[in-house]
Formats: sequence, C-alpha cells, structure tokens
Amino acid sequence: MTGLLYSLRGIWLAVVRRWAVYLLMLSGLSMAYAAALIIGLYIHNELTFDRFLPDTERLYIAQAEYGPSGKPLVASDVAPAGVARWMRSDSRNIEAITRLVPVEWPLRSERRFVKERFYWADANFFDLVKLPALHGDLAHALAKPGSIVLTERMARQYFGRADVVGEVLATHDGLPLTVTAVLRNYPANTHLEREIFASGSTSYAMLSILDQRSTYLWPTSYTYFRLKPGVTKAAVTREMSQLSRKYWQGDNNLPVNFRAIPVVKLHFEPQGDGQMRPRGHLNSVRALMVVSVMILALAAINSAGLILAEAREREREMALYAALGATRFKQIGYIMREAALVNLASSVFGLAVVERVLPYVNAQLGVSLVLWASPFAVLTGVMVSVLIMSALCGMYPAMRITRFSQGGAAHKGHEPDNSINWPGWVTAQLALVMVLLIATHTMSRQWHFAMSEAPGFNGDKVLMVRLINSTTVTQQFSEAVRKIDGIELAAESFGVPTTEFARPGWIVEPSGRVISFTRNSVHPDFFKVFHVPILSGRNLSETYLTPEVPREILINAAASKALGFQKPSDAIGQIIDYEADQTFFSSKIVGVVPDLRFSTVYEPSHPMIFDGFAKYFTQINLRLSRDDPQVLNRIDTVWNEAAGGRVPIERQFYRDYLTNQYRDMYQQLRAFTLVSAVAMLQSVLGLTGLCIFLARHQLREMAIRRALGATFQELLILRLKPFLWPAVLSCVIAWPLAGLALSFWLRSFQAHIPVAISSFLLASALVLFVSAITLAIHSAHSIRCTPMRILRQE
Amino acid sequence: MALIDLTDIEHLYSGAQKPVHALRGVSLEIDAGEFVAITGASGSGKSTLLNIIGTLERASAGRYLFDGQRVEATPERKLANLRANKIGFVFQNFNLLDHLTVFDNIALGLRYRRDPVAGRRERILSVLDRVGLAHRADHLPRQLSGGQQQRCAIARAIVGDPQVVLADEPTGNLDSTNAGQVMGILEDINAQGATVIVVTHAPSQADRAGRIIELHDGRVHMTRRRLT
Ligand SMILES: Nc1ncnc2c1ncn2[C@@H]1O[C@H](COP(=O)(O)OP(=O)(O)OP(=O)(O)O)[C@@H](O)[C@H]1O
Ligand SMILES: [Mg+2]
Repeated sequence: MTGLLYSLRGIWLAVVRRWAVYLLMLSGLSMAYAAALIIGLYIHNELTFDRFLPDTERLYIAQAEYGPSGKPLVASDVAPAGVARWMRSDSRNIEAITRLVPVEWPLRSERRFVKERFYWADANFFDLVKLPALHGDLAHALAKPGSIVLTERMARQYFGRADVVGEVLATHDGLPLTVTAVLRNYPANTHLEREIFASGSTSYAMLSILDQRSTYLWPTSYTYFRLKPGVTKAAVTREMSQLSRKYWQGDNNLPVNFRAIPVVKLHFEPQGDGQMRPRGHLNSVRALMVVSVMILALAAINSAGLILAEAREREREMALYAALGATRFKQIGYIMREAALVNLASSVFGLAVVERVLPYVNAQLGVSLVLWASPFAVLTGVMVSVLIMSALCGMYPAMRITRFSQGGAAHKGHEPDNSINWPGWVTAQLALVMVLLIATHTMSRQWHFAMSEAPGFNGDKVLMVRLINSTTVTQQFSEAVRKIDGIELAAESFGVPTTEFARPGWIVEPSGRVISFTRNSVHPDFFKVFHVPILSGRNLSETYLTPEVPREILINAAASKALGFQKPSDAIGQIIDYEADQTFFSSKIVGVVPDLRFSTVYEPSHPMIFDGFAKYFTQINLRLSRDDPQVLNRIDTVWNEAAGGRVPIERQFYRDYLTNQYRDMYQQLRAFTLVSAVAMLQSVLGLTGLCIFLARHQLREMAIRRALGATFQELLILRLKPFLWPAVLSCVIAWPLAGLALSFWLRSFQAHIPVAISSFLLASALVLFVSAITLAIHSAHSIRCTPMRILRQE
Repeated sequence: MALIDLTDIEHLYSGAQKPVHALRGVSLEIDAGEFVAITGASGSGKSTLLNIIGTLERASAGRYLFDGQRVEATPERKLANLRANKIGFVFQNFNLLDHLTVFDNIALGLRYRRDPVAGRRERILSVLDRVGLAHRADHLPRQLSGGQQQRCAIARAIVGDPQVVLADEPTGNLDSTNAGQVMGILEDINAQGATVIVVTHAPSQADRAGRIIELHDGRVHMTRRRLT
C-alpha cells in the first residue's frame, strides 16, 4: 500500500514537472476516447435496429420486386394486400402473417388536431411484432373495428396523460376511433416510424377495403410473417411467387419475386421503395468502426511518442532506480502504471465530454443516442479500451527507456538515439487524415449533388400542398391560393415531384421490345413552377378530366432516347401507343423536357411521359416569390376557409422533402465530418508532441549550430526539412486509397458525381497547411528558446 | 580601437526563483591579437562573460562594441552572421554532433558562412592536419578519445579563420598531456593573429596568456599582464 502511494506520489511529481507533456497526452487521449465513444454509440445504435423486439428469430418482412423481365428489378417494402390473403389461406410454410397500411388522416382530440401519420393494422399485428404494452391488452386491442392503439408519447400529445384506454380520437367527419391500449414508448432505432396503429378491420380502413375487393392489387401493405420452425427463407419466397401467380388478376405490374428479410436486419437492406425509415449503410458503419479504432491507435501512439520525448530524463531516472536495486520488471511496471493512470483519467474526461456534447451530436446526426442506456456495457467497454490503450501507450516506451538502465547510469557517451521511425508515423497519420478529408469532401459533394443538381429542376421556394378528395375544397383552394400576393405561380400535379405514386407504363414495340416509363400528370405550369425548360417543341396546352384522351404529351430526354430518336426535336409530332394505369393510349408528343429525377439518387431514373390528366391531382405546387411567413399564414387561412376547418392543411417545402429523403446520407456525412475533425486534431496534437520530442532531442544540436552562426531561419529549415518526404509520401499513399474507397462508395448510387481531383488537392492542401503551421509554430518557439546554457552542461 | 570593448556590463539571470546577478559592471577592452585568460572562482561569472563576448547571450545592461559594432543594437540575424564569420567557440564538453563524422563536424564551422563553397574541403583537410586528426576524418566523435574530440572541436572553431576564438575551460575534461596539446594549438592560432580568450582554472595555463583577468563575484577583481 505504501509502495503504491509512493509511486502515485512519484507520478504526481512527474506530472507537475512535465505538465505540458501530460496536458497534451490528456487532451489527445480524452478526445480520442470521446470520439470513439460517440462513434461506438452511433454504431451500436445502427447495429441494434429493432433488436428491442422480442421473439424475432422467425419474423420477416416481405419485400416485393417489380419490373419488366430482363431489366434490373426494383425492390419495394410495400406489397399488394392480396399477397397476405393468399398466404394465409394456402401457405404451408407460414405460421402467421400480418400487415400495416400507412395512412395520413386528420386525428382530433381536445388538445391536438393534425393530419396524423399512422397505420391500419391487422388484428394480430402485436402477436408478431411484440411491442410492449403500458396499458390495455394488446392481444385483443385491434380486434374490434374502430379501435386504436398508440404509444405513451402520442397519448400524452393527444390527451396529456398516459392511461387513455377508452378515450376517443375523431377522424374524418367525426368518425370515432377508441383507444384500446397504450404502448410503451419504443426506441428511435426501429423501422417503425409511426406510433399509432388503428384496426384494419374498421369499415372505412384501406386495409378492409383492399381485402373486400380482390382486384385491388396495388402495392400498399407492409407484410410481416412468421415462419414455421425449420422452414427456409428460400422455400417461403418461392411459395409467395407461386401463390401470387395463381391468384393474380390485375395488370402485368405483378411482383416478379419476393424476398424475405428478417425484421432485425431490415435496417441494412439495400434501398427500396416505400421504406418506413431511411436505410443504414453497413459499409459506412464498418468504415466508421475502422476509423474510430484508428483514432484511438493514433492517440495511443502519439502518447507513446510523448513518453519517449522524455526518454533521456527517464533513462536517468530509471538508471537511478536500477542502481537502487529495482528490477527492470519493476521499472517497466512504473511506466506502465503511469500510462494506465493517464488513460484512466482521459477516459473519465472523455466520458464527461461525451455527456456534454451528445445532445449536440444527436441534433447534428439526427439520432437520439443515450450514453447511459446500459451503464455496465459502456463502462466495461471503456475499461477494456483503457487496458488496451495503456498497453499501447506504455509498453514500447517502457521497453526502450529501461533498455540501458541495467548497464548503469554512466553508460558512456550514451544519448537516447532518434532511431524511432517518426517520419513513417507522420506519413501514416497524415495519410489517414487526408483519406478522411477526401472522403468527407466527396460525401459532401455527393450530398449537394443529390440536393440540388440531381433533380434536374429547381424546387427551392416551392411549397407543396396536399389536395384532398373533395372537388369543392380543391377548386376553391386552388383558385383562391393563386390570388395570394407572394405566390408567383401554382401548378397541380399527381404525385410528383415526390415519389409517392410511381405510375409505371409500357410501350410494347412491334419488335416485342418493352420500353418502361413512368406516367406523370401535371398542370402545364408545372414546368414553369420548377423552372424546367422545354428542350424542344412546346408545353402542354391544357388539363383534362377524362382518362381516355391524353391528346398530347411531353416526354423527357431519356424517353426520347429510349424511343430511338436521335435528337429531341425528332420526337416532336410523333404518335406513340402505350399502356398505363390499365388503359391503352395513343398520344402525340408535343414537347421534350430534360431528364428530371423524382426518385432519390439511389434509384435509377426512368424515361417519363407527362400529360395533363387532372382528375386525380394529389397536390398543388406553389412557387413563392419571397421568404415570408405571412405568405404561409395566408395560405393556411385560405385552406381553412376552403376546407371549413375539417381537414388541416398538409404542406411541405420541396427542399424539406428532399432533405428528409437524404437524411441517411446527411447522417453519414456528419459522422465523417466529426471523425475527420477529430483525426485532424489528433494529428495536430501528435505533431505538437513530435515537436516537443524533437526539441528535446535536438536541443544541444540546435544550440551548437546557433553558436556556430546558424540563423533562426536556417535552424527552422533544418528542423522542418525532414517533414518534406512524409508530406509527399502521405499524398502518394492517401490518394489511391481514397480514390478506391470512394469510387466503391459512389457506385452504390445510381446517380453520382465523379471523384474530383479538387477533393484530393483541397484535402491534402488543408492537411499539409495545418501540419506545416503546427510544426512551424512549435519549432520556431523551441528554436527561439534554445537555452545556450546547455552548451556548458554535460 | 579595441576589438572587444565592454563598458559597465551587467547580467542578471531571472529564470530561477531568485534572480542571480552574475555580472555586476564589467568594463574591459581586448585588442586584436591578444591572448587573454579569464580566471576566477566557480560561479564568479566567467562563462557568462564569455557567452556575452561571443554574443550567445545579451547583457542585461551596459555597452558592448565588437569591432566597432554595437552589439545591443544588432538584430539576432546579424549576430548569427557575426558568429559564423568572426567568432569560434571551444567548449569544455566539446559539443560535437554525435551523428556526424569528424570531417562533417568541422565542416559545420563553415556551414553558416556566406563565402564560396569552393575550397572548403581543402581548408578542412588542412585544419585536420594542423590538429593532428587527418587520419580520423571519417570517425564518429564517440570513436575518439577526449583529447582528440577537443582537437576536433578546436578545428571546427578555427576552420573559418575567425578573428576571435573563445574557449570555456577547454581543458577541463582532459588530462595534462592532452591539455598541453590543446593549449599549444590555441597559442599557435594566437601566433597567427587571432584573438584568443580562454576561461581556465589552472594557473599554469593562465600564465601562458598575455593578460590574465580575474573575476570575483561578477566584477573584474584584478588584471595582470605578462611582462615581455
Ligand atoms: N541560466 C542561469 N540561470 C540562473 N543562474 C545562472 C544561470 N547560469 C549561471 N547562473 C548563475 O550565474 C552565476 C555565474 O555563473 P557562471 O556560469 O558564469 O559562473 P562560472 O564562473 O563560469 O563558474 P564555473 O567556474 O563553475 O563554470 C552563478 O552564480 C550561476 O549560478
Ligand atoms: Mg563556467
């Protein structure tokens, strides 16, 4: 015990004497611990999506794959409601099946009235997806028509308290939904994005309507199923395809294939249509994992370097201990204990930092990470890292420093040699930071591309207002809203520019070749609202209500090419025959517009046809002439007048819609920005440490050269010159590595920017500039402060 | 006019807890070509004085003219040039660079001069010869004896034909044979016209100088000239 106290005292004295070095070590290590912890929490969050659900071993979601034969299939999380019906009656592989159909309807309580996003759910939903209940009995909660189940959070929003079983929410025209159970709040890392489930057997629920009409087969439902024990995924997939072929009565938009995806793995499945939450990216998670380990290693090795900076003094100290009879083992133990203490302190600081910055990180990443969700796991993780890190920090310096001590203190003419491979280490460190910065810059470019260039139209300042299924409301609103001062132009559309209703169509050429496209119905002003130029020909001239007569259509450049026209102008005046929305059309091409992208950059962009079919317009797009909350207020007023206060307005800026579409990409970007910044700081600290190390080791040399007449500049150049090669070499290593990794990453997009040389130049310039400044400042300082007295001392 | 002209030089070390008044008003003139020995008890300020003469440190107060140039008013860069071209240093502990050979250590004495590079090699070889180390040119300092190391250090100091050679206890770490050799070389240099200032404890060595300056507690206690 006294021995330990004595050594603690020794360490404390060492700390006081070399506080600058310890400060550097502590800040570097704390930052690394904090960064690694945050990334660790983020990775854990990503990897545990839906893991809170019990009994999920045999629980799957059915992903349907659509597309004309021979073309790459498009996966979708939503399948026709019928698939589940057939499975329920015919399947030999499935134990239970259940569905959700998303719905956006107004819900009203005394406290709250909004257009709510919730699900129609089959009665057995909670048998399969075992969300925990807070109040009520989930086994029967959705059995009766008109029943509704919500989370505690939602209950509080609507009623101001949790136990609301028996309360009633009103929807359209006062139709009642009675609360039968309240769910415990579930964590944010689940694929379930909504928190209210209403009974699908309710007579006006989409789910019951779909089940009553066997021909209503459009993709609407999230289909969950539980396999019988021992059944393979492949078997059930095959069965689902067979059954849909057997029962299918609709058009040829038949899911060609099904994939069974374990619910707990859904988060890392590739992008598909109609997913509830943006998907995670396993490769990014892996990359982050590697990077956070590297940041820890960086900090550890930098600390080892700092301990070595003291080597000369330490060797004397150790030699003294040796002379006093300490074994080498004991001496190593002394240094290791010091490393362990520094690491322990740093980890505590790191935890404190995380506690402070986590809310900010959460806001930046759009996640809700919690530090102390499982304290035991966090602490164990931290302790294990402290152990590993201590070994990394302490072992090598300890071995080196104690190397000579056994030979006695007066080891003749011995100077600690500089043979540590610091140029190699600097190279590696700079290269890592460069790779990260290049990656971050490229990610940021891709994100900006997705947000502004990829759509091919200008949706800034365009407000999309959802129209409702009432001609009078729609008409009154459309007319009145156009008169508002501050609205430049308005145009209705069906689904676009979002991807809510992708309406596929086909042109079967005489040769039998199928050209698939999407059909879009818009008001002629749509193109002006979104600043889309007409490449050739003219705009649509009118809208019309009868489906049979799309007299004139516009196509996009991709369609023009797919149809075999050399130039867009060649397409003008041509008549094409095609099938869409279960109807055959024969229309004349009057104009060609550029390629627009309504889908995300993850999905391919399709040839398109635009017509003026006005019957099912789902939204009106308003281009605002200025940023003015007054205008929004006036729009709301006009809506409320038109809707008579029965349906709340649902409006969203296109920009916000897009931001939401790319939440996942933005999250990755932020995560990488964070780690690059930390890595950069680490390398600055590392270089600072190296400067201290070099300053110590070259003290006498610098003094001698100064006495011999070297000027300050000459000494500075002498000190900095050895960094030239590592700088060059780091670029040589970082560039191809980053290039490779990024082209791999970019290939996961259907539309992406090319890897740009500017990213490489910028990242390298920044890294080298910051390093040069760091080195120059510290070297200049140490050279200026070279004590000439050292020349007199042995 | 004297080559080195010090008037009321004071020096205060303020780094430590208690400031140390190392020099308390030293006035001194040393002419070109003189051989001066500085003696005095330990801590009397000899090294401090020598460092100030060599422009390695600046005096806290007083006036210092080197060859008519006001040192206090000269920027550091100019002083570096001055050291490179006009002053050579020899230290008690040699201060050779371990990773450079004897030849390269000596070359360092020319490294920071502005004069042409051509002919440097010959000059180095000739000083090597003069200090008797010609056969050791490619050795590293640690492969030499103490005396050889000091001769190497002297060679470095004189390779550029400085006007002044400053030696702070150059023989302090050497036995008498080696010490005699080193003093001999310094006398040689002096004979060829360089001003030599040596700090020493040994009276026998001090006696070889033309003038002995004894410091006591930061002041010039006594100046003695050898009678010729
Ligand atoms: N860097 C310094 N900081 C503080 N005090 C110093 C410093 N260098 C020297 N001193 C003090 O200044 C005084 C003069 O020191 P100096 O080294 O000039 O003495 P010296 O005559 O050369 O002694 P020695 O014969 O032991 O070499 C001494 O009291 C010494 O302790
Ligand atoms: Mg001295």
